[in-house]
Amino acid sequence: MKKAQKLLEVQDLCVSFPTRKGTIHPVRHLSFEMKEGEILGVVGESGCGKSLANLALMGLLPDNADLKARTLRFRGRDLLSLSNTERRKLRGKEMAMIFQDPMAALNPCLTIGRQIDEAIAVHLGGSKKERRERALELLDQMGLPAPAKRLGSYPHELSGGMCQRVMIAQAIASRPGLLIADEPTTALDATIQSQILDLLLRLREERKMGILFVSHDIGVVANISDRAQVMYAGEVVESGVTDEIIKLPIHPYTEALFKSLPGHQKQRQSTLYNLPGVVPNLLSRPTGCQFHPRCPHAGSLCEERDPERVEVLGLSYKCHLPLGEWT
Amino acid sequence: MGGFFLRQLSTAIPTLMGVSLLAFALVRLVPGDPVLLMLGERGGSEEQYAQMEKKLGLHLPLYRQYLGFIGNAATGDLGKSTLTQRPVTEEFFSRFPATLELGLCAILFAVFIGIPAGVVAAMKHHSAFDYTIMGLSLVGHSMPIFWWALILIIAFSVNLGLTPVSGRIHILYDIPSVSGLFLVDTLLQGNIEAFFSALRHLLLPTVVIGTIPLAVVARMTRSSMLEVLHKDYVRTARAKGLEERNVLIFHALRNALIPLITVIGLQFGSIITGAILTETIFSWPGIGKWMVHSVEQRDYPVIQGGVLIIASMVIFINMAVDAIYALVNPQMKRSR
Repeated sequence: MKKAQKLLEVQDLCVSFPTRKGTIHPVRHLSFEMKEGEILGVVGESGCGKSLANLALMGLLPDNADLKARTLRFRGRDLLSLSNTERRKLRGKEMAMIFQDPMAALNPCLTIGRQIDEAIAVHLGGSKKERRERALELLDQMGLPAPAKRLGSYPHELSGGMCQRVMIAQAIASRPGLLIADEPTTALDATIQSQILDLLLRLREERKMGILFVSHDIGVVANISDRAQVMYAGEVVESGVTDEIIKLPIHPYTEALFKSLPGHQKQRQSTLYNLPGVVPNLLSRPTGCQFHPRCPHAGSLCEERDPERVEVLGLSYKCHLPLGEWT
Repeated sequence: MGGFFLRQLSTAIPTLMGVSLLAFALVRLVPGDPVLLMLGERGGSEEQYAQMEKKLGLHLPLYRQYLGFIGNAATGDLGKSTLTQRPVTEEFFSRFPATLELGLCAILFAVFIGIPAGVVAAMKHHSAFDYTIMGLSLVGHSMPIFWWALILIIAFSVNLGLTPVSGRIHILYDIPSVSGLFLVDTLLQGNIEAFFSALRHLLLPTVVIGTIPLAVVARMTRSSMLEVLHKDYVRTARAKGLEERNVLIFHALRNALIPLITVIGLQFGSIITGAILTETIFSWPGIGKWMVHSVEQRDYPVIQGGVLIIASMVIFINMAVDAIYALVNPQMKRSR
C-alpha cells in the first residue's frame, strides 16, 4: 500500500485558560496524525475538549487561551510559526470548518448568496459573475434544491439541514484539504443527519478531502470514520482503526459509550445503559486516571497513578486495566 | 408593508386621545388663571373678567371645551395663542426648525462618536480604554444638564471666547428661510461666513443635548457588540478566513446595530420634543423655550396644542423607527 502524505501532525497539543480560581487545562497532550483524504472521528462527551482542540487547529481560540504544542503541522507547514495573516489565509482556503448549529452559524442579516460569495471572494477572487456561478455550482453539488432562488434567501428562511448544506458549500468553496466538522449533525434530525453524512462521504470520495469529524455520538463516528479517537477530560484515552474499536473496545470509557447507544442492548425493553457521573470539573481534576471515579472496573492503582499511553498494533490506549483479550 | 402602517396607526389614535385629555386636564389643574393674566396687573371689573373669559372660551363647561379642542384638532386647527393671537400650529412650526436643527446635530454627534467608541470598547473589552469610555459615559449620563451647560459656557465662551453664549446665528446675518435649518439655508445662500457663525452657535448646545444620547449610544453599542462578538456566525466569518475588519463591520456591527436603532430612535424622539433646559440656557428659539414661556403665561391653547403636536411627532418617530427596524432586520420581513 502506498503511503499517503501526512495532512496533519499534532503532538502534545495543550490548551489552557487562566481563571480566577487557577489555570484550567481543557485539552492535555493531544497527539494524532491525519493522512490526506482520511476521515478521523473524534468522540467524547460534552466538555471533553473536542471543540477547543478544533478551534486550536483552526487558530480561532479566544484571546485569553494559551496554546502549546510540540508539533502542529499542516501539510508539512508549521502552524505555530505562521503569522496571523498567514494563518488567516490558510483558514477557509486549505482548512475549513463547519459547526454544530448551522442556523446560528450563518449570519441572520446577510443572504445565503452574499455569505457564500464572501468565502469565494476572499480566497479565489474572480468577477462577480464567476463567483455567482461558482456559488450556484456549489449549492447544486450540495444537493440544495433551486439553488438560484436560494442565493437570495436569508438563513431563517431555510431549514437546519439546508443551512448545514450552505455551511458545507462555503467551507469547501476553495477545495480545502481538511474539513473540520464539529458536531455537524447534532442539531439535525435523524433523516437529515444521514443525508449530511452521505454528503460528507461523497465529498471525501470526490475531492480526497480529509475530514476531522467530531461528535459525541459514537454511533455516528463509527459509521463515517476510518480511524477514531475517544477523548475524555481533554485527553485521548483510546485511538485506532474504527472497525477494530467497534469490534473490541479497550478502554472502559469507549465501552460505556457504546453501551449507551440505543439499540445496543440485546433484548428489547431492557433499560438503556447509563454511564453514571459527569466529566470532571477542570478546576478539581481527580488524581490518577481521569476516568476512575466513573469507571466500573477501577482499582486502587487507577486512583493513584495516571496510566501511561500504550501503543500496540496501531492501537493506542491509556488504561491500567484494558478490556478484552487482544494479545 | 401597508398593513404594518395600518396597525401602527390604529395604536396611534388612542394614544393621541389619551395625550390630548391629559394635556387638557393638566393645564387646568395647574394653579393660575389665564383670564387674570390677560387682564394685566391692575385687573379689571367683573364685567371685563366675564368678557375676557368668554373671549377665551373658558366660560363653557369643561367637557364642551375639551370636545371643542379635539374636534378642531382633528381638522388641524389647534386654536390661537391667547397671548399673540396667532394660530398655535403657525407658532409651532416657526420655532420647530430651530429645535430640529439642534436635535439633528445632537443625535449625529451622539451616533458618530458613540458607535465607534462603543465598538472599540467592546473589541478591547476590560482594557483601560474600555473602562475609560464606560466611566465617562456613566458621568455623562448622570451629569445635570444645566450644570454641564454652564460649565461649558464658562470654559469655552467666557474664558476662551471660542463660542457665542446664546442664539442661533450672529445678528449681522439675514438668512432667508428655506428649510428653516440655518446650516442648510446659509449654504443655499452661499454665505460661508454665516454658515460658520451658525455652526459656532450650534456647537455648545449640541454637545450639551448630545451628551446623554452619546453616553447611552456608547454603552449600548458596547454591550450589543460584546453580545454579537460571541455569536456563532462571527466565528464562522473568522473560520472563512475573512479579514478581521470585514468580520467586525459586516458580521458583528451589522447585527449589533439592530437593537441600537430603537435606542437611537427613542433618544431622537426625546431630543426633538424640545430640550427645555438647554434651549432656555442658550436662548435657543426652539419649542422647548416656547413651551416653558406658554406655561408661565397660562397660554392654554399653546400648551395643550403644543403637547399634542409633540406627542404626534414622537409617535411618528417611533413608527419610522419600527419601519427602519423592519428594513434592516431580514427576520422581520415576510418570507418570499
